[in-house]
Amino acid sequence: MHNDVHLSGEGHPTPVSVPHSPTVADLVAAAKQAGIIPPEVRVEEIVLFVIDEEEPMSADRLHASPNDRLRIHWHRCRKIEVTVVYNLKKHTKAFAPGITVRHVLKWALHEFGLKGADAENKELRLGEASNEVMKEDAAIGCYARHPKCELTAYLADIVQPQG
Amino acid sequence: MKADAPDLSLFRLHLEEAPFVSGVEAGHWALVEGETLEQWPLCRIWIRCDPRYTKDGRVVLRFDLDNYPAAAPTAQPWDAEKNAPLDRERWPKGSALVNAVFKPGWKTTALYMPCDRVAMVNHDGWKQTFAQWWWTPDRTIVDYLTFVFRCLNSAGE
Repeated sequence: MHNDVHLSGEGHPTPVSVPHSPTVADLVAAAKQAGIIPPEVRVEEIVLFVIDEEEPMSADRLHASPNDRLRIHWHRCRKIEVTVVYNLKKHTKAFAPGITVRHVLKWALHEFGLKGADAENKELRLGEASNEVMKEDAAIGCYARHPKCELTAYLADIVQPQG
Repeated sequence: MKADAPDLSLFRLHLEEAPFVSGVEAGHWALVEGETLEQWPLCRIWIRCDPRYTKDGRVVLRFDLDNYPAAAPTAQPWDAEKNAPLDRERWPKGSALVNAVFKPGWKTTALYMPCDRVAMVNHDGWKQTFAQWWWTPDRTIVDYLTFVFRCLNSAGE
């Protein structure tokens, strides 16, 4: 059976396809060969997550669904501690690296009690100097690099085109 | 057999890559049923839309992808059944962002956003304001779709 797996990981906010192989080790090897996982990363360090699932992927999952195109995220952290800052307040929660930014955004909106028009124009931006808009479809782990299993994001208003 | 034009070849390639396919599988967007790309550079793609903004639950865009991806796409809301521009009354509306992007009072043939070829004209300031979205030739149709999807599907409730 040959199928593609959509794989993202540390530093890869955009998924790429790698050939679906019978074992997780083969999948990792293919991803390394394709340059998606850096060569210095040891296979035994890698944890695989299905997108938006909290628990790491079991080794037999690839066998179980050979016809499904899985969206998988690789990381060396088992959890990413995400701190979201808004209006000088902050909330922190640990998420699996494969949880999407959209899921984290929904959590943050709930924690800060934002609803309706106050909530619908919000996005998450990376803290520190980058101020980068975090892609809602990307896994949160795309924005954290091992061994730093944490990140700070800001809840910001979406800038509207005008002028 | 006639070979595809280079812009169409690249577009077909991008349709097969993981970012576009992931969106299809997640139900975020897809080519309109029956879209064969025979009308190239015109192409119809639907994008899921929160029912708060349109009761149809999706918006069909008809893209003009001439000289893609060297030139940015432009797109207009489209009535797939009539194969005609969507009536202005049926354009998505609701949030401030939706109303800013879907602006028939400005133009009915383009969307007001930083990766739309028509809207980019005379908006050089957007290069800084929307650095992550401003169209450059290394972008793909997924960037345009992602901007629109994000606009039409707020995480807020």
